[in-house]
Amino acid sequence: MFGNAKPESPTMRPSSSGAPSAVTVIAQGVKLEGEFASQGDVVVDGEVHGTLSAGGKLTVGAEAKIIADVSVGEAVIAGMVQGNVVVSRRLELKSTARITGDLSAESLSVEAGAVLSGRVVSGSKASQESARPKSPGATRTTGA
Amino acid sequence: MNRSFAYIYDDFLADTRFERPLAAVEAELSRLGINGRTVRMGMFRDPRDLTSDLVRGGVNTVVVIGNDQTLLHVLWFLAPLGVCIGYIPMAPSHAIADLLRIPKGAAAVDVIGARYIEALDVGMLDGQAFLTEVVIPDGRARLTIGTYALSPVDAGGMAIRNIGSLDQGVSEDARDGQLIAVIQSEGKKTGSWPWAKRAYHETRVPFTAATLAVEKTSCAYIDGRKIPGKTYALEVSPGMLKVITGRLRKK
Repeated sequence: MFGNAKPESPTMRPSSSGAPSAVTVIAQGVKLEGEFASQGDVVVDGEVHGTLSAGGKLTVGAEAKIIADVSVGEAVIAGMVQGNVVVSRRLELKSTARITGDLSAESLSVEAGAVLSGRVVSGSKASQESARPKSPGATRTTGA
Repeated sequence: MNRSFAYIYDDFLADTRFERPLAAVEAELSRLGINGRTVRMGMFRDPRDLTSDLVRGGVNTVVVIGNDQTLLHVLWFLAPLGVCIGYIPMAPSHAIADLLRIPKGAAAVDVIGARYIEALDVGMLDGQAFLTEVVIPDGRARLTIGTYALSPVDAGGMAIRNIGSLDQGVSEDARDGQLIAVIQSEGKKTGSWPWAKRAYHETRVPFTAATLAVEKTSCAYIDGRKIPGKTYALEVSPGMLKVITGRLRKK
């Protein structure tokens, strides 16, 4: 009865076994909308609209577009972020990073070429103070 | 005979070409002392009655002998009975056996004898259980997970995986109490004509419950079976299946 029956089965393109399942990956060509929260690591190469929080490490690729407030444990940003960014440990901005919003991190590293437009708080005070909403006329544009 | 074991044979194994491979399987079972009660799946025999009878008779391990369709046909009747489930693949298709690292034929008896049991999660789509994956091919779909939603910007395929992909032989962790949404999106072409290749990007998001809304195509494929519909409720039942696999064996 079941000997030679081959079920019809749609195919997707060949897939990599890729990141372990604890890592969330938002790849290019995918949009995430809403309030996203994860306890693990997150990699964003696509679009995020809303809010993003993660207990682990956030990696933002050069092609990524994040229009959201971000609150993570650690971050490496190489793409566009429009929103406030709060990092409880280390924040690294790559040369292609474009940040519009306030930044707060215990430890901050900025590569030449990164563009920041907002208030920056780093060091031990960052853990005591969360980024405040931007007020008109109080921004400082930094092109490092 | 070991009364705690039972073997369900699919009817297609009555064909003469399976005579010698089956004899090899049965010889191995006897050698390991795990040969037990045998039953054949008949076209008119209700799998529910068949499996309940076995458990009432004191069986705690049921081994399915056949192919992936045989396994999927009886699996969901065995799961609520709390028995350990084994599988000896004898013929194509055996993609599920490959995902569970169970070799074909008599070599699978070693896996049964080693008895490495995994408590596997089961995916549920609108109340229907699935073991491997749900696929929405080449269509726009929107996956809503709690407070956020995911969708491809352009066309792309989407799969909701439990133990892994039937077509691609990619295994996932089916013991983590989660399903994983895999969205493939088209990237740019690289290289020059005529050798230019299009890259595909893969989004991976683990979750426990979600709603899937299909926009373009009006069906989903669940364990390779077509299910028409537009909106589906997805959730995971953690550790629902006790399955003897080859995945934990040291090589």
